Amino acid sequence: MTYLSVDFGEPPRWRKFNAMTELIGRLHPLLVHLPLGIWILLGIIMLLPIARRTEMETAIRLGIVVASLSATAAAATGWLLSRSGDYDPDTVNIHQWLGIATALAGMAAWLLPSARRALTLVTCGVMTVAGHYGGVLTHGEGYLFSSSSSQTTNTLTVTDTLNINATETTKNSGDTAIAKVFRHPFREDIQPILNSRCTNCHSATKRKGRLRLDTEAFIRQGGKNGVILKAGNPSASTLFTHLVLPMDDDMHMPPKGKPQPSEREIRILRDWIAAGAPFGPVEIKSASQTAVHVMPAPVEMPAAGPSAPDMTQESTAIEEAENTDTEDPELQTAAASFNTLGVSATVVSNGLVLNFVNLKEISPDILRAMEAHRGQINSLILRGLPLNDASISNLPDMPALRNLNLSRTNITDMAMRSLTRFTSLEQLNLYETAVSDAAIPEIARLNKLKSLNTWSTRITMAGVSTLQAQKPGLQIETGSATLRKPDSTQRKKP
Amino acid sequence: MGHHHHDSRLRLPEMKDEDTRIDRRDFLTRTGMGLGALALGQLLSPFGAKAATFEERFMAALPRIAPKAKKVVFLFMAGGPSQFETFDYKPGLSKLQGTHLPDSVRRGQRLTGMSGNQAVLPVASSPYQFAQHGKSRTWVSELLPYTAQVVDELCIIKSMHTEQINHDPAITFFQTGHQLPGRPSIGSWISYGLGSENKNLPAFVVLVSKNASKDQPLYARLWGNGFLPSEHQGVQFRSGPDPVLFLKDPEGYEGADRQEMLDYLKKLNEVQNQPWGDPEVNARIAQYELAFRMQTSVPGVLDTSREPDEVFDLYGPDSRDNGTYAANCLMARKLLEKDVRFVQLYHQGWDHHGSLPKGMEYQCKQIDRPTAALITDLKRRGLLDETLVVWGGEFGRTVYSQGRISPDNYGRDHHPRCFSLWMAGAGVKKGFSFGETDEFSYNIVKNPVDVHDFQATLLHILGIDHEQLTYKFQGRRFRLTDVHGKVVKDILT
Repeated sequence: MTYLSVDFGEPPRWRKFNAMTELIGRLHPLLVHLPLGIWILLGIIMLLPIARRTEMETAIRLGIVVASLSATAAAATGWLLSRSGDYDPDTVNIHQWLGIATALAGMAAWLLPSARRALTLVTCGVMTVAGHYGGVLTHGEGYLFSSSSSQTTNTLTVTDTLNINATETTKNSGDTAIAKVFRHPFREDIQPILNSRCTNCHSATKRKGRLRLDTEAFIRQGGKNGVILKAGNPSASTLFTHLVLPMDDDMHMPPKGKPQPSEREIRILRDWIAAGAPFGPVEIKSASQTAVHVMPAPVEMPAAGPSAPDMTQESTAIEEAENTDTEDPELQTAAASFNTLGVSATVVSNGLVLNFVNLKEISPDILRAMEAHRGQINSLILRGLPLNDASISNLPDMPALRNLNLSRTNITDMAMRSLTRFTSLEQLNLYETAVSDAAIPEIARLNKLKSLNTWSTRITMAGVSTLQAQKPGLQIETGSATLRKPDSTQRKKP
Repeated sequence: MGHHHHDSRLRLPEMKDEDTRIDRRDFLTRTGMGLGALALGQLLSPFGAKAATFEERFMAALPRIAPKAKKVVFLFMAGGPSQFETFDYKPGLSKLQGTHLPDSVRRGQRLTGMSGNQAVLPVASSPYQFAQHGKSRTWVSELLPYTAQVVDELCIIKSMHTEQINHDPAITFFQTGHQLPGRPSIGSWISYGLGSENKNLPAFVVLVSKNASKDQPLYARLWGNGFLPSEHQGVQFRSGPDPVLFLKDPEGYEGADRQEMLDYLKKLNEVQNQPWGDPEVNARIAQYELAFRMQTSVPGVLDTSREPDEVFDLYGPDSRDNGTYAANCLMARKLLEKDVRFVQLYHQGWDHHGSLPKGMEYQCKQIDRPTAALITDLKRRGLLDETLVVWGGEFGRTVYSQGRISPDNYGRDHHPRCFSLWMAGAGVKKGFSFGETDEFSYNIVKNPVDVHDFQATLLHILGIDHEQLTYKFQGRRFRLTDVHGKVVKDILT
């Protein structure tokens, strides 16, 4: 689009007047309605034969003078308001020049009495269009034809769909299949809320606080006061905290008097942020584990009073609320905490699989996490880590551990002594370790052991036989199976 | 800075998720980074920069039920190996040698232009002996003496069938679930669905045998990501001194300030990403970072010099020659040991329209021992418990000879109606055969398995419901199995 460009650049000497000009600028919406009403009344008087014009002459003249002057004042204040930068420059430009045109046409009607009637009608016409763009600036594009009730319904439907999806998945998955649903919480849940409550003032056409909430890039960018979204931390995200400030707090959003989001919508927004604020598709496995879901716990409203709520307390409350609600919350949380520590953690039906493929050691932090979640660890894959016997004895007791892979570590027979603590151990992989026949008695004490890998260890075939005799059910992979060279003489040439 | 720049940015069309998704070609056109970028684009990331927050937290926390397998090695026999000389034993055919294929069997099937105009379609029986092997007493041809030794680990499907009769559409169909190019490869879907365990290596690695006839070409799009984010495409590791192109530092550069360089590049990319919001920018940032990590990890994985002789003896003498099928099998084991999610090997040269005996003897010799060695090696390391091995081609071959038939020379044309494929390892029954063909191995008489069924089953073994792994693109949700596919429950453990 081409338009006349006005430099809104700000010479330094203007700055001290900023507060005052801002105030005057804000009178624009008040002033603008004065010429509006008068010109329309003048139009009616001139067009309709409701009264003899001579009788109205004085009123018409007065009207034109007041309307022209107030239109000029409205244009001036409008220009000051536009300098705040809160509005879309394109729309502002159109509105600005149409407003100036209205004021000029009005002046012309005043100064050229002979063409007064025609000019009044022109003024009314231009003013109507200017007024429309003013409306676009204030209420956002499409305001006129949008229905506020349909937006609410939309949000509800979306969440209902989510629940249906999840139920279907569970049904489909049967006994063995794994439910995998991909949802788009931002597009399906968050955007409808933002569009119904926020984007009137925070979008392309109107950018209050230099903030736009209509696209991912702008939401990430934040506004005049900085970043508004800290993924994973609702308490540090003003996108959420400003919604739950007391209504009379200056920072409360949306401003007092504007339509407020429901408690449910706030909850959805908070949960979405807590879930890492995914803008893309998210894989979910059931309704209760979606990034965004309806939770029974009410939103913790910060106590009225000091405008800065106690962030730490609040976040704890939120975490607790989440923990009580999610289907398998402990496993999910545990997996997340292991992942942050660099351990590749997978949730399976009966616990956690921890794979240390990306690590060089078991750090004290990881040990602490393992201690905290020791009852949930199902598989531990330590393949190739430079671990010694002490590292194994330092591991916490893991009563649910079924699968332990110690292959290619630096352990010896000593390490086997600390394995009896793992009372559920079913599968043990020792390949390429220094474990020898001396460890057989310790291995034999692992009551539930079902499979053992001894390839490339110092456990001899005699040792394997001893163990096999003690534990007939144990499957021992000795790696002895090698490929025989086929007897090529047997094959007949075709 | 002037208002001009500011305004022009604001006049951009609004960024919707789909609008901002631009493809690789667009990206290269816009950035003008040329070939270097293309090469780095091959280096894929387990976690995009943006994805790091939620992919790790959501993807890693799933699935709920333990998948049977965590990784896959797919030994793709490109060209269409004959079922007659490998696994589908048809002893009755020797009596019918040279007789015309009955119309009751062919049932008016349209044949290819290569054999469709033959006056006769003479039945060619396999001249190779079959014997029963293992505890499962499975019939295996004498061309596969090593495979026969691990047959108790295999789950052979003799009733595979496909929709496509020519190589490229059939391979594309097998790899992407659709015969036309442009959809994501199986490995890409799996990378997308499950993410990567090892952050220093791509989730999807491709190896192509150098010691194979290249009569039917392979294209990189067979391991392409299609419409999925580009970090999910397969990364080809080549044989020779430069296994991953452009991964080594150039001559005269020591790499000391590489990290600093990448940090600045990341900042620049983030500046670009602010207004554009393009997921491919994040993918690119992640790819640079993965490439940097791969500078250290790849030489370690590819270095077979520390493997004991016993290992080379197991895989056969070819395994000392980088880039051969045998060496690639050994490499696959090393990659799987490092938790690479999906390793795809290709071995071409199975398209035996003529001189089939000579061709089959040569091909089988190349793949037989390394394949059996891979199974053995994975098993003794405890990796077969978590790995699914797949061996097979894009279609089978005809019972009748294409061209002249003599006792020791004949050819076979493409045959989509049935072929054999095997799986082994995690999730599938051991020493098991599934499906039956008729006495001509022309039509399936029991338990047909089509390509989408195979794909659904493969995903199932990895813990993925094939109907739920979808990606929305151009207004519809796509899946690997399109609108088809049934999990073959009978072969699962």
